[in-house]
Amino acid sequence: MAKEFYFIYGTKSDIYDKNGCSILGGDVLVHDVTVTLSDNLDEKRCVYDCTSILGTYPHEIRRRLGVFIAAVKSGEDPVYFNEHRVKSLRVEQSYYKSLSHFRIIIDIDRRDVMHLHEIKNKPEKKSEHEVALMMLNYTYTGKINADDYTYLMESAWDEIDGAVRIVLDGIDFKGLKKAQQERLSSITGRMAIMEYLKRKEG
Amino acid sequence: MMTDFYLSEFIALLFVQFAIHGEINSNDYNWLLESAEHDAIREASKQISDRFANNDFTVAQRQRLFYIIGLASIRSVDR
Repeated sequence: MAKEFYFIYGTKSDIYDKNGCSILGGDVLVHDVTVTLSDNLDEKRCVYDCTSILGTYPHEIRRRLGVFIAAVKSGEDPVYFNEHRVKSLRVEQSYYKSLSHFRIIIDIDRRDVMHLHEIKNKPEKKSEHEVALMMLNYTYTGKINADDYTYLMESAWDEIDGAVRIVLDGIDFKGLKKAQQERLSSITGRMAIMEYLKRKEG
Repeated sequence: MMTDFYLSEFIALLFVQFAIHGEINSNDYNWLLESAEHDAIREASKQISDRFANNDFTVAQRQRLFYIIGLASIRSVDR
């Protein structure tokens, strides 16, 4: 199966020990993180390319990581990756370009990983009432701000029917002006079809 | 009697016909707004999404498509 590349994921703070402390501490830059599907379909592999700010730090990093690697291997439950279970964790020695560069490879259960675009771009879910309010606002004013419009077009699929019911509970559709009827119809129809179209076009 | 599948296919056809030509048979139009089932309308809009790309329609056609889908959907909820 082809490797599937994802995103820059998280920060060094994502790697915690069982006490909730960051393994990497405060003097490490995690400047590139990639996640791939590992060969095991149940796992995803997070690769952290790191730089220690202080020249002496790699030793400390290795010591800390070594403790956790040993714990994982011994079957304890010592490491969390942003609350996700870590299946294995190691430092890739061959990646050392200098004393301060290293790579950490972590295999975690793929079910616990989200794509970055899901994290970054997924807006907070809005209620049917909020969606209805956006639709009503557009219906009456003919204006809508860009964020609301994007939300209606890309994220409100599940709320369309409920929102329309809420709108119709509050207003008499046939009592609206012609232009308002057209705006409400258009925005409803556009929402009903746009998300699928966008998803299909990738 | 049409099955649910053919019903939604038929509704999708009416939607596309309205989008392209700007009009459909008045009996079909009245049926669409007064009798078509909400679930069949939603299914029809999904079928259209599956089959067409955004740029398959001109701007005017796309506006008509959104309008008729939205109108039929609203009317079915409003009944």
